[in-house]
Amino acid sequence: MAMVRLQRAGKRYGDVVALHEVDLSVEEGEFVTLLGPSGSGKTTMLNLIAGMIAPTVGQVFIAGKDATNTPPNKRGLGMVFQNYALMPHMTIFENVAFPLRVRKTPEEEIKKKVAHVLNLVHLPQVANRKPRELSGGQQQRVALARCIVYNPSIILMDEPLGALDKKLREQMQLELKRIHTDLKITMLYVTHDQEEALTMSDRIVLLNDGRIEQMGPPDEMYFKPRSVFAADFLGSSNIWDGTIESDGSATIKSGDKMKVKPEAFAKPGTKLKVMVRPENINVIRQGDDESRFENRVNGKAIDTLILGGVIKHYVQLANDTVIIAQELTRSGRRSLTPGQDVRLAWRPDDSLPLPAVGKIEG
Amino acid sequence: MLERRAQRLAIMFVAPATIFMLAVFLIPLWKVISQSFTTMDGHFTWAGYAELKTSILFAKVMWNTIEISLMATVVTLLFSYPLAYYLAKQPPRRRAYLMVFVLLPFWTSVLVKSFAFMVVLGENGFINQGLRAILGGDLPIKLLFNRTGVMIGMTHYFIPFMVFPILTSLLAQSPDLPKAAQLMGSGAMRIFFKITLPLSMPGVMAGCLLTFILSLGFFITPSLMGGRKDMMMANLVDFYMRETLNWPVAAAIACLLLLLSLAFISLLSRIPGGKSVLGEAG
Repeated sequence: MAMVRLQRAGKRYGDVVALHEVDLSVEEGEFVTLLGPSGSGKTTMLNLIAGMIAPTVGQVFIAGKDATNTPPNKRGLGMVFQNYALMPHMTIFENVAFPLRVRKTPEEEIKKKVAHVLNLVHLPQVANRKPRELSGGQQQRVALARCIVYNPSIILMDEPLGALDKKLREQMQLELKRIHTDLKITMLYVTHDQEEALTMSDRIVLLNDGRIEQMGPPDEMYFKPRSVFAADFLGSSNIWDGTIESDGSATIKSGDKMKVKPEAFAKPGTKLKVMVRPENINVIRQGDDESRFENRVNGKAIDTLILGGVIKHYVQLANDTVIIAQELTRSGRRSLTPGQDVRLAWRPDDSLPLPAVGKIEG
Repeated sequence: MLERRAQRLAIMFVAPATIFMLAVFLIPLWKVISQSFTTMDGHFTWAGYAELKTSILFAKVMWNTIEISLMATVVTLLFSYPLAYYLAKQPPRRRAYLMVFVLLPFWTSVLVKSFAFMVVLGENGFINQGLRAILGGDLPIKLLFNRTGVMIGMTHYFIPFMVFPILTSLLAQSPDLPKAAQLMGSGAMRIFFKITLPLSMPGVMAGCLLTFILSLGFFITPSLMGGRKDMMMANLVDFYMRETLNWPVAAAIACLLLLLSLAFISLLSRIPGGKSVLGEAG
């Protein structure tokens, strides 16, 4: 059953459209991420579901019931905020017990349940402390426990890891994923961080300018972007202007010709964009067998960046076209000298044709 | 070298105000303190304080002052909290605009306002005329020269002093807290009594102490708008100065009043919300 469903729901403020009419449904036990740049409508969508704002058009269903006009406190939702939103004057125990007290749960049961969820988030020892005595990561785990404890039909998360540093964020991503898998909770997660979305989600909903640009499982979003926006927002990419030739291959601005993955819309003569992920482009060194890669170009090295586990090579083609190739770092692998001639190669299946404007429908 | 320069600069900035305060405040204050130990013909005496120890009038006025101050504080709080709560919920621009109205009482002096109140509240004033027109009959409601009059005048003056610390502590609360509570199923009443109110207590405490301290030394309002029973400490000082010409007693009362206020101010500096009122950041 869909725990949350938006049916042609939209929101406008006067002439400004915050969210065009969208359809979305989140199934029981699913981890769905709303991903998009700021102003793309993801927070509006979250607030529509939470009941903080009313939709201008359309309906909101929660656990199968029309909740469009239900106030937030009657929707039975949970929410985790970026700044944790723990009550600073209450102990951790009281914070977690709060939703249970609202529900008039007997004291004995409250004690049991609070202890249980604090165990779940690995913080059994902090019950008597105040929120400010805890680290950011701990506070966020308490905030999550406070949601889990009353078993809401869905937990909404508004950039919950945004205030944490990188290491802690990665740790918390795994922790959240574990809790989600163990308890089979339905989660709707809002973030502008594409890596976070790719790591955690069962399904990503990519928003752009108040519309759903594309949605699907992370691998599909990454390998089959349907628009330049989607390709650009998820992962890094080489995107060039190009034209389709009569034999179905594409010529890009630099004059280089390459084979592309066949797409129905990419008919001969079509002006479009060609996208290749940097990690799919190989630097051909002396002795390498390049016959596996049908697409090959020659250029001059501009720069090499070592980013820890990976290396990025920036290579100049004709007509001011730059191509980025990414390799795994290996000791002894020589970086390119600026100005040096470089040969790059990749497979036709890795060059995706994308419409110059709009997206591939279907 | 640089340090000495900085020091010289600091002195230049602070000196004018310091000299001014020394001349018009500290020296007179010293005079008052020494006056409380000096007879009219210039000898040392304890008589001022000794007289107060046994004076029934002083005890009565002292009690009166505390009673009126407490009452004024409570009434002011009852008016100010909803006002601050409303202001805190407004968008910043609208709040800034509404704030001007909260500050309106500061635009005229207490003296002028007291006279204005006398016109409005008197037996043939505005309010009584209106009531008579609506209800008929001719028993005027006594709004002046009694405790009611004092309360109206004082509350009117104190509201901004109470609103600001409360507003500060309301604005310091994360707007996500009520939102989070609401999503957890909490109704408006529980949100207010379990979250908003407890978190605004520092502001309430600071506002109450400030109002109480200010009202301890009130003079014009009780003397113009109060009755004979509404005499406060400051009025008693005036009485000893001008009516009985007993300056040592007048000075002794002034000193005791100052001590009482100082005690409460030190209390104010110890509570969390008091620091904002006293000008400390954070």
